[in-house]
Amino acid sequence: MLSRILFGIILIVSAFAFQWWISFLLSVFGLFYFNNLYEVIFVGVIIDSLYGKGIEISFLGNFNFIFTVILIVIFIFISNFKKRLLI
Amino acid sequence: MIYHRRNKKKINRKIITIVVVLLVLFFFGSNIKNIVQWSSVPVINIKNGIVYPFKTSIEYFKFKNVLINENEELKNKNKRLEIENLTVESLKGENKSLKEIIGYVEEVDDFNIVKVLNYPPFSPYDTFLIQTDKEKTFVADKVYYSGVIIGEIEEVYKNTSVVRLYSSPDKKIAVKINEQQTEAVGIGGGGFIISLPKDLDINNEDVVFVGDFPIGKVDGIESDIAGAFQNIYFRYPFNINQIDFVEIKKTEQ
Repeated sequence: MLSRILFGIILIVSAFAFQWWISFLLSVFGLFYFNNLYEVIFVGVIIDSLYGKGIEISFLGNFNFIFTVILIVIFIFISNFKKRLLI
Repeated sequence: MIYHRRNKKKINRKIITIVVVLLVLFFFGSNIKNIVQWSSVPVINIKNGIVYPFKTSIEYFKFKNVLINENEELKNKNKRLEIENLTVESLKGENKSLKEIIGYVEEVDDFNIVKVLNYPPFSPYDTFLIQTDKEKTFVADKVYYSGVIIGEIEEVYKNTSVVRLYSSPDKKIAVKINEQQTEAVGIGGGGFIISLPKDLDINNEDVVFVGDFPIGKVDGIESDIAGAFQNIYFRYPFNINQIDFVEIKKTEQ
């Protein structure tokens, strides 16, 4: 539990302070190591909020959280992958 | 059977959480951005405070030979700049006297110097995060460093702003090279590319301008033997990863 909290703090601080790919690699590692690491969504939100550029989605308007969506997709993919791996 | 149902429940909960997160981001995205930008300032300032001493102490570990060569190179560069400076001084005098003759009234630019919180490679896509005041900064204000135009304010928050450099990938900008108006496209990492007809005489070290302000120097020319065009690569005349302060010039409203 303590390691999870510590890792979460490191992950969030890395999103603010380190290069984006360091946070990305930490997120992927964390997703493999911990179950349901929802903190990665915060990582995406922080990086997109700090530097992200919105894209125009025809009927939905401007969407600014592309990196967050990518991390959510990776989150789902790794969760499913891990489940299959255990079986 | 029970196991399957529990698993299904778990998946459903996960999907619901993600959908809720996406909806919140979509409808309250700008509020979330404001909160994150506001909370980023102390964290990044602490990081910069920790990183700064290491940034300077890394120089101690350079090899002696490298330092001797660098010193020699800088001496030569200094000599050349001193000679160039003499020409600049005489041109300044000439310019001033010409302005007096035609009665030209000079505009005083309103520059505001601000601190850079995060710069590439810490920030992606050739962006800077700068510490600004919401009342004094506006979207589309031009950003300069050492008299070189580098980008524009893209987003303004309570105490920070995001600057997108012109070298940001796929960003297009109108430039002038050898009196030739053309369009440059950012390729990231402080670099640009221009495509021009082969018959135009462009050389390495040629200066590229945006309006009256310089933006960079040509550092590579690539021409296809069969094609009619040449690709000209240029970059900012300084390392964008070492910028601590920038100047903001207000756009005319």
